[in-house]
Amino acid sequence: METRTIKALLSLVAFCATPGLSQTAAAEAVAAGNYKIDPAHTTIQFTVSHLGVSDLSGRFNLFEGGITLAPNGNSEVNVSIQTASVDTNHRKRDDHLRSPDFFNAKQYPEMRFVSKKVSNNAYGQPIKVQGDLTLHGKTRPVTLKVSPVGAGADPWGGYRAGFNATTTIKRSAHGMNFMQGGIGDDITITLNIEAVKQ
Amino acid sequence: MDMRLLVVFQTLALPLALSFVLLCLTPRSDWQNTLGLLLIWLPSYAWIIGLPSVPPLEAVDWLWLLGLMMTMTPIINRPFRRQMVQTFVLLMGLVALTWPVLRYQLTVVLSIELIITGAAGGVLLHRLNRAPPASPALTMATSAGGLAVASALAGSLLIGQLAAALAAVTGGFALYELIKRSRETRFSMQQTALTWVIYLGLLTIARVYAELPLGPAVLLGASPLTGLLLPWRYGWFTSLLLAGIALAWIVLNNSTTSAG
Repeated sequence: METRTIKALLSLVAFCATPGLSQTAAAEAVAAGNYKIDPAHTTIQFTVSHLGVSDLSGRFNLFEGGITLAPNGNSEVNVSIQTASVDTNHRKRDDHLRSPDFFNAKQYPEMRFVSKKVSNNAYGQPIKVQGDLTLHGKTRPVTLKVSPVGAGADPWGGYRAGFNATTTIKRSAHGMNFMQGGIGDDITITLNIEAVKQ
Repeated sequence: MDMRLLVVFQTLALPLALSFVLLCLTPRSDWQNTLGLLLIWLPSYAWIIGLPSVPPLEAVDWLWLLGLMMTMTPIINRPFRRQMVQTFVLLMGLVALTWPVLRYQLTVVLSIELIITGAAGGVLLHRLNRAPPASPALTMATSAGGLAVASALAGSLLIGQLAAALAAVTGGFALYELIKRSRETRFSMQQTALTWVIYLGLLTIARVYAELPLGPAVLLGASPLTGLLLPWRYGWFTSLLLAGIALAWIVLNNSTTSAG
C-alpha cells in the first residue's frame, strides 16, 4: 500500500515538474504573443499585518486574465479577481472579509488590474508593470515589480511562461478603512503567474 | 488608545453620554428633539465608518442622508401628509441602500424581502403617527442591541457597531422608561420614527451585504415592530424575546456549521 502511494506521489512530482520546460528559461527571451493566465497554476496572494504582531496571508481562488507580450513596451496585462473568492483558511474570517467591513463583495464583486505601461529587460521580459488597480470601487495607480521565472514548451504541445509579481497597496486608498488599528493598512500582493500562449 | 477601549468609547460610551445630555434637554419641540437625536448619533456614525463618502458610494454612506430626511419630516404639520412623506423617504432609502445589488442580482426572494420590509416600515410609521407606543426607547434600544450582536456574530462588525451606537443613543431614554416602569416616556413619536428607519436601514444592509440569515433577520425585523405595536406597557419584552431568539438562532447555526 505504502509503495503504491510513494509511486503515485513520484508520478505526480514528475508530472508537475513538466520536463519540457527549460530550467534556465529565466534568462531567455519569452515568445511574444497573447497569453492566458492558467488559474490551475497561478496563485494570487496577499499579506497583511495583524495587530502589528504577525503577518496574515490569504489568497483569491477565482480570477482570470491575459498577458500580451509585445516588443517596444507595447505589452499589456489585465487581471480580474472575484473578491468573494477570498480564502484565508478560516470561514468566519472570510465571511467578515467579504462583508461591508472590507471588500463589500456584494457591491464590488470584482477587483481589476489593467496595465498602462510595461517595462521590459534586455531579453524582452517584463520586469515592471504600471497600471490601475480598481478595488472597492476606487481606482488607484500601482506598480508591479515582476520577476520572470521561465518559459518554454510544455509536454502538451503548448508554450508557457511564468512570472512572479509583487506590489504593496494601501487599503485606505481604496476606502477600506475599517479596523485600521488592528489590521494593517499596507497590503502586499504577490502573484505567481503561469500563462499559456494562445 | 487601546483598540477595545476605542470601540467601547465610539460605540457605547459617547452616544450613551450624549443620550443622557439630550434627555436632560427635553422636552422641546418635536422637530428639535428629533434633530437632537440625529445629531448625537452622527458623531459615532462618522467615527465608526471613517466619514461617509459624498456622494454616497456604499450602503452605510446613505444612512446619514436617510436620517436627515426623516428628521425634516416633523416640519410637516398635517399627519397624513407627514406619514406619506416618511413612507416615501423610507422606500427610497431602501432602494438606495440595496441598489448596488438590485441592479445586477434582482431575485424574486430579494424583491419579496424588500417589499415586506417596506410594507412593515410603512405600517409602523402609520401607527406611530396615530398612537404613541408605551415604551418606544426601550423597544428600540433592545432591538438595536440585538441587531448589533447579531450582525457582529453573522459577519459584519461595522454594522454591529453602527447598530450598537443606535441602541446607545436611545439608551438614556430607555433607562428613563425603565425607571418609570414604562408608565412614562420622553422619546417622541418622531424620534421613534427616525430610529425605526435607521434600524430598518441597518437591518437591510446586514441582510443584503453581510449575509445575515433570513430567519434571524425576520425575527429582528419583527422585534421592534411587535414591541411598538403592542398596546400594553411591557410590549418591549416581546422585542427582547424575539431578539434573544434571533441571537440564539445565529449562535446555534454557527456552532453547527463549525462542528460540520
